[in-house]
Amino acid sequence: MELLSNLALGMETAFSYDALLYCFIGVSIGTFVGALPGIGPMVTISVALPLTFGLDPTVALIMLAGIFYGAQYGGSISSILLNLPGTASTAVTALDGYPMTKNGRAGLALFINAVASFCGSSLAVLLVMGFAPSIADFALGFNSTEYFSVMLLGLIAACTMSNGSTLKALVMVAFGLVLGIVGLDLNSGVPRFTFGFLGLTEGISLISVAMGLFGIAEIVSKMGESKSGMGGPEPKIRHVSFRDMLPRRDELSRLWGPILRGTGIGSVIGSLPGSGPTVAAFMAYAMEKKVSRTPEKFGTGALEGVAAPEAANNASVQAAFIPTLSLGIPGDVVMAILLGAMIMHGIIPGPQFISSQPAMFWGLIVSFWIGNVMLLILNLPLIGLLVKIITVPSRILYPVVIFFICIGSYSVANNVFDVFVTLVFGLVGYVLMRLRYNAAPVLLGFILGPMMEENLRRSLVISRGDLTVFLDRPVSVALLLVCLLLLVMPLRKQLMKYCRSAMSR
Amino acid sequence: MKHLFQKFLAAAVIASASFTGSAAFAEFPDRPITMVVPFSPGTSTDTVSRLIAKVMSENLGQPVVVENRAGAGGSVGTSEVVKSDPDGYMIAMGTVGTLAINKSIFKDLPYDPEADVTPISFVGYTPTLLVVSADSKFQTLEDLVAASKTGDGVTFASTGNGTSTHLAGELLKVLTGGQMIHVPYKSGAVGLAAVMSGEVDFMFNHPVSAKKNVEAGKLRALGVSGAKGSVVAPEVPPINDTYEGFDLIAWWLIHGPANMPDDVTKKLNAAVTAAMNDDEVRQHFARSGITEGDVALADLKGFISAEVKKWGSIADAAKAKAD
Repeated sequence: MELLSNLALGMETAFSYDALLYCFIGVSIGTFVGALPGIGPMVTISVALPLTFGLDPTVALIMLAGIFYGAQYGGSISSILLNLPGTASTAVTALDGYPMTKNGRAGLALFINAVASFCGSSLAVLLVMGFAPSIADFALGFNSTEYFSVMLLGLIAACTMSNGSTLKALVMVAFGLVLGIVGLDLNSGVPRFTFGFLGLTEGISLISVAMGLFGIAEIVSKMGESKSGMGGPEPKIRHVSFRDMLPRRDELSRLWGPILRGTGIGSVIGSLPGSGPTVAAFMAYAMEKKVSRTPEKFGTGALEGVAAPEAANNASVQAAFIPTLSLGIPGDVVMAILLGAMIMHGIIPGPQFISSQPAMFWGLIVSFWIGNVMLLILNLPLIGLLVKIITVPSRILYPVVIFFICIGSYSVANNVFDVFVTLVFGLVGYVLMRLRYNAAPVLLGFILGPMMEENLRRSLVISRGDLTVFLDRPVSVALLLVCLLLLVMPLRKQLMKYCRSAMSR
Repeated sequence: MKHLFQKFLAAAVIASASFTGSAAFAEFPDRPITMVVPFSPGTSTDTVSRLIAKVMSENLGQPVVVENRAGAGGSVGTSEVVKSDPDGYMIAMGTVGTLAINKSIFKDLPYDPEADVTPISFVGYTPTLLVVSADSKFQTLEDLVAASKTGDGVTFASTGNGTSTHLAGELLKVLTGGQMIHVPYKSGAVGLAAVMSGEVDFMFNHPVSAKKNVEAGKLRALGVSGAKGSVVAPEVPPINDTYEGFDLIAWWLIHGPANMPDDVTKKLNAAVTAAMNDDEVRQHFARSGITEGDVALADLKGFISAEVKKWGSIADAAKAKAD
């Protein structure tokens, strides 16, 4: 019954007037900046950080955390409506979300987004409540060998992502891997493919790649279409009533599986420091496509293709608090800023944080849940309004979007160089689009490639070059077996087809 | 309210001064000052800078705006400040990395920390703790060194090639003559997790986060990198006691471009000193294990030169070259 008394303590903190107010401010700002392409939670939190100095530390953290998970909700709005991912982690949502908009089902897509996000977050919050310390220990048990095997699994799964040609998907993954190599090599400190640009020493920024390939490219191709008049069917716009956004009963029953699986994947990936919501969303999407009976529908507006990645990226964002709060180990840049915020407010997270600051820890956790309820309430009524964004004339909408993308790319490191990098990727993305290459696998290769390399080399340095290290640890072996299975299964199908045709002959 | 009024008054006085007289007579500072932090938000350098900038703003009557310009081990932001006008409106938070180590690590560093810098104030310093997992078989520094001389040797985590945590490990290797293999990580936190889980044998880490985990029974501290020991963990012996010549600290030093006017430097120095006496900053320093800087303004150039030399010789020994 300790959990109950802890929860009571948390509620006391989180339901105070200040906490509720700042939680609301946080999630509202989060949704808003998340929806703006390019301006993500990282930039917003670092701007908001000094503004929280005067606040009570718990309240300050509740607000900053609200910005972080609120942005995940918002990011998918522009993905679904405009095919412009607001944050990198919602690029996957566009794969099926935007086709839904084209089919005139934008309202439903946004509804699924809100509900899947809510379920994913809430279930992950329950996990954090019940098992934070044990999950943290589990995450600690992941050595570089396991990391490598997980990443390999993700990469192989990625090749099943794209519709149509697997070869094209492979080419895109490889392109992403090459992009990921740019920058200082961690082990030797040697610069790779930086061509003497100081701005490339830390590698190409994820925002630049994502916003260029998806944002700028999409806008350029849209502009080309409207001029030459060769565009496909315009998205159907009509008044969206509340009924239109509700799924039909048979559709509703199809959603539970993807949401639960997405949450599971998101929670596991999120609790591993260094992986993040983008990887979680990609893996959930790939998994959903694998288990689906109608994989051919993915990419044409499958509900599951929106529900699974949304549940996953939101769950992973909540789970990412586990290593940060219970070990003091931030998983990504945003978590590092939040950790910095805690330190500035005089709180140093570590293994004793939960026991030494119970009111703060439980208050924060309960506020996550409150924040998610607020997001749901905030998002559902807005759907009807949001859908109208599609009707904004492109001569107004696109310059605004490009403006925000430029600001977003600049603000990652306050570097103009990154803006040019974004524009270059816009051009690359446009060419890819014309050649009918799906850019999503590029993103995954770009994120996973450097991590895989890092962990492969680290494993080998520690094992003094012994490759069997990957077969010594059970989790790693299990993951590698799944990889093998994924590779062999399509072959087996082909083989059986071949055998049958040979026999019938 | 009173504060606000005073600020308003000060602003009004300065504004009228700059309107009536020529700009040369305007009292420094008559516009906002930018403090460049050459690392990402949330890093320890960023936290220290923001707290100090806040008090400096109150003291100077002009906002001191913190701007993060991360990249290339801090060289991007630092070179930007060093190349700006030496009028005191662009200053940077320098570190042991940007003002000492980078010179011997980066082949084409776009600035010279000795010639291109006007030191303003030595903010503070902290030693690091050498930690191993609590489950590790190494109970003392001697155990670790003994193990490094047998079989495959031992491994140590760092925050990247050519960083202070890497070079600290290399110095230990040089002084003890053992086999210590470098395993770089993307951040100190992830490296620390690897030490906790036993993937890597040891690491030099910031004393506060290390100490928290020592208290929780996840890590064991075997030594302090600074010869004077650590205020956070006074019970841990300095490595220097066993292996003489091991004296490494991480430090923070506010600086501007070369050739800043003396009166501007002194004014900024006084504002930093006032910040150091602020209660909030003091508390933060105590919590973070940072000892207040104890080098006078006149001796700072010499301090930087000595540090450049010290880290340079370790880097040479380690042959750690980055670019």
